[in-house]
Amino acid sequence: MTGLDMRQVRKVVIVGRDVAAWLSANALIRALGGTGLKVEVAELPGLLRAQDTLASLPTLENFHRLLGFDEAALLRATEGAYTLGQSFAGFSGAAAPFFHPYGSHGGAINRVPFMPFWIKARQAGLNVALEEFSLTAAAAKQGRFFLPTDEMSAFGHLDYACHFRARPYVQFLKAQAMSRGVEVRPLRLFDIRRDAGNGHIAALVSGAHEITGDLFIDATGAESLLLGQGLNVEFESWSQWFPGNRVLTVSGERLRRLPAYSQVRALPSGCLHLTPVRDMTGLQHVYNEAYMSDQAALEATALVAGLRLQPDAVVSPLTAGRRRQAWAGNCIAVGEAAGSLDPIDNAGLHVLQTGLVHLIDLFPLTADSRLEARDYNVRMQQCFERIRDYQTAHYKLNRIDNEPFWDRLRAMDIPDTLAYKIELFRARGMVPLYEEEVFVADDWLALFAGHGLMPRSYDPMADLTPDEDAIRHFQNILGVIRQTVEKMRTHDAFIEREISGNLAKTV
Amino acid sequence: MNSPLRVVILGGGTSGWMCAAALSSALKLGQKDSLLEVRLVESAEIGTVGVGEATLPQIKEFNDYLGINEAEFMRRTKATFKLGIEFRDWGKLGNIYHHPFGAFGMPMAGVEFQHHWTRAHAMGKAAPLEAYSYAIQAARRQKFDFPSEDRQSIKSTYSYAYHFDAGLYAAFLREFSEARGLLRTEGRVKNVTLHSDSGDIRSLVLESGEEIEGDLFIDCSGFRGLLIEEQLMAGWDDWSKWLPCDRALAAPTERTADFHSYTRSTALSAGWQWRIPLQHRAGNGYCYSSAFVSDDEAHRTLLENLDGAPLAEPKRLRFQAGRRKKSWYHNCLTIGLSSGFLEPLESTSIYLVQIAVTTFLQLLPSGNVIDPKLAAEFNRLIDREYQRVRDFLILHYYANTRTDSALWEYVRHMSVPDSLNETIEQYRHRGRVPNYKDGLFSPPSWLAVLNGQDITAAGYDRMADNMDEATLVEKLETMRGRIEASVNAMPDHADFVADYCFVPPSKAALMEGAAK
Repeated sequence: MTGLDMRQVRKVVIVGRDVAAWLSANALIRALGGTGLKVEVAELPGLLRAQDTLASLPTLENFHRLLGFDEAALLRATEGAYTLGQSFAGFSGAAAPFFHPYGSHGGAINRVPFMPFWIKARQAGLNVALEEFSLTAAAAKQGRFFLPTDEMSAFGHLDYACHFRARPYVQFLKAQAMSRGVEVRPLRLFDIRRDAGNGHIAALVSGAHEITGDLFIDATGAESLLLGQGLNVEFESWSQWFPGNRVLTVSGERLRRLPAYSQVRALPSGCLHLTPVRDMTGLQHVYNEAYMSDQAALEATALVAGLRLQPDAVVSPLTAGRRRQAWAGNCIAVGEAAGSLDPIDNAGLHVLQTGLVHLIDLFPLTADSRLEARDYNVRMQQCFERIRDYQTAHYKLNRIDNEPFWDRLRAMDIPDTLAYKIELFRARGMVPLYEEEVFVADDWLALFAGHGLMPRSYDPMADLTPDEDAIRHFQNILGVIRQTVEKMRTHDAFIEREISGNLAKTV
Repeated sequence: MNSPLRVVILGGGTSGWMCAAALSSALKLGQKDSLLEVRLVESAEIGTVGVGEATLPQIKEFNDYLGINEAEFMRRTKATFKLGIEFRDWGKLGNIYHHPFGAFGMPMAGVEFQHHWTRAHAMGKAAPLEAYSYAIQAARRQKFDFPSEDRQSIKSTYSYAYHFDAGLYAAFLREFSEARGLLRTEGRVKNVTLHSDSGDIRSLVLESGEEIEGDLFIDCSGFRGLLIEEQLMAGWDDWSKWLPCDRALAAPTERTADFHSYTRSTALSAGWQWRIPLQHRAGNGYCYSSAFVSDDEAHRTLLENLDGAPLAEPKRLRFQAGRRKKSWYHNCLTIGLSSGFLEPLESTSIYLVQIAVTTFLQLLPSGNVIDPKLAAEFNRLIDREYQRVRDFLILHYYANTRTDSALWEYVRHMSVPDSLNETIEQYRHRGRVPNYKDGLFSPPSWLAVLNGQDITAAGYDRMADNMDEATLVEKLETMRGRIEASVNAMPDHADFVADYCFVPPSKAALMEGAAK
């Protein structure tokens, strides 16, 4: 390598707003503040609205712990609730909704995994859905919530995630970051001054002021003001796989019994997402303007949700896709500045978190960060594409007949990586996993089985267990799940005791 | 249920019998509800290669899966323990380093150990990297003990493998398999018949005239690939431009006092020599490139270098580094040398057999119609394994500063796969080592070889700087001291083997020894 710039990175400037900016600030100051790194947020005016909600995937809780956040305090501050997974309704005409639990299904029988036994039983006429063998799904569907304990290890992998209001979450993140020494400076319009030599960002120029830094984090959202507009990194659209180009957001009344899961309902030309928090229900309707007007989208939302809606509906454009590089020169884009995801599967926060984890892992040693950038871009491309594949499967595998919106999706070409997963599942009931998978085998099995894919064959090792033994094992699992769920508190009671109640507040 | 799948394994070397044993163990062979009918065809007249005497820790998982008693297995195969590999004269003359089966240190404050070490080393306040490896310290002192299961203990930071007599291991697995219903047929293949429509293999015709039909054939016939290549012409990827060794001479010697708990590999001018201590003898060999040395000279070199009396005339082997383009093609699956050849520098031969066998078990066809998707997935998984090992082996050759011979000049200047170049660049730049989801090798292995062959990390993870210098130095010293104290208390390898699984020499052998 030539022209190696050996200056150490002393100051990072995070440009942007809302969750992306403040989660970045927390991550960087927590991981590297002790090394003398200065972290400054050049904060653009927030765009979040009171009705915006967020949903995490299970690993965010661990990330929060590493950042030193108290989970109960965070949930208290944000009207937060727990989630054990997602329910998907209406993706197949008459079929019942299916559940994607954040946990595994069944347990191995005579050292052979559960899945082949289930496939075999289905082929023989068993009419019990895969999710019935998940403790997580069973608890969620009965309005319960639990935190996994060691005694539950027989149920396999068990996990959970959270829902919260977006604005208080940002306030929480901001307060935490500032208490740790992150500096903030408000910013509105600005220009970028680039180094004449290497093309790096040298400073943000706003009127007479300049903000200089060694490394710039683009947390400006889908506009991608630094990476996209400033450094001209191209956007790769995924609109051929993701039909929604409008998102209507509105808040609905609180559900009387607070579900510990989010819901996705397929509508004639889009999907409605319900994210319950303690004092309201966040609703997002994703649709395509060629098939539906904004007004019709609002009416459909009200009709399908069956909830009293607040008059706070707003519509924003959406184009799913990603920037071809997330890291260019001395600029790293995180969250939506690196790529915008369809809301299905709640992966938006996760991709932000993954971007930050890799950034810390590859934090540049000097101002010349070409090696780090190369590695980072490979990882983030893989991460985005694995999420994309998982999300695309929902649309590709729909069985909603005679709706042009859905008919086109069923017929669309899909990425080879997803096609291969589907083929192998169809052939054998197994899912090949690549590097940087976000969703693990249990998630893929729930997805494929939930959408009604039925494998042609299964691991014949399952045939070595006599059918009577397998049936007894099935009954045993179902019985233990039933008993375990009965003893659980309701989600409301759990929250009252651990988060919101007087007792919880004094702890 | 469909009629059982008829599987024919051709070849009874280590690969054939490992495959047979796994199928026998898992599948209730010979019972009326069995999924498979398995026959193994081998000829006692055809010798096996049997150089794969050193293994990796994964072999223990394989034996555990079969339910084999470790002490009995070690007695039967005259095995010893292995904590890693010692590399001598690799990188440069006079260099000695170990690739341990275990970690270097432990992560501290969320940062991998090597970054802390690089930082302390730059300050002149760290011992050599190997001082923080339990496995290396134990190996250097020729000690052995089982690792602790307590994850908090420094003694849990290593694992172990074995050296064993591969011929005895195959015989042991044969007995195991036959006791579980596996049918063995003695005979040489005279002819192979194919289905005219699909081109799949239909049957093997033996010299005796017996015809053995099958639905699936497992080619364990060795280098030549009697089915996969001679019949199906699956094709071969030649990797010899990166791994030029193409011959080996193998010779056993008497047991000596040098009873190390590791495999020794010494780089020579045209290749490298191995030494593998077993209970009753030592396995030795010279793996070399015929482009750089004549067979006669290699033969002389090996004999001169032996530290004990040879027990037999050296056995000659020829090969080419590379890989079958498709490991599973038509209804023929390859396991072992018919699938690919990578020199035994990192003891990967038996591992590659094992991973092929276990992958096949996960993709076992259901019934006697074989879904082509199973072959596609098998090939995807096995290809990755071979490529990972390939890169790792190439690193040993490429990273050298030896100017004493043409081989070392050649490999230092050759162009290596991009994947390996990136690994080296990342390590040089910031001490990063590969950490992938599937396949050999894990981060400590890469670290051992990169560091051991004098590729130095210029930088380290910035997060390491969160720790103040005094704490860092103190923690490193504590760790080093704990390892040293614990290793010193370990039994000697020779004593441990004698207690655990020693095979006393037979009376006849003692008499023979006395007669000399």
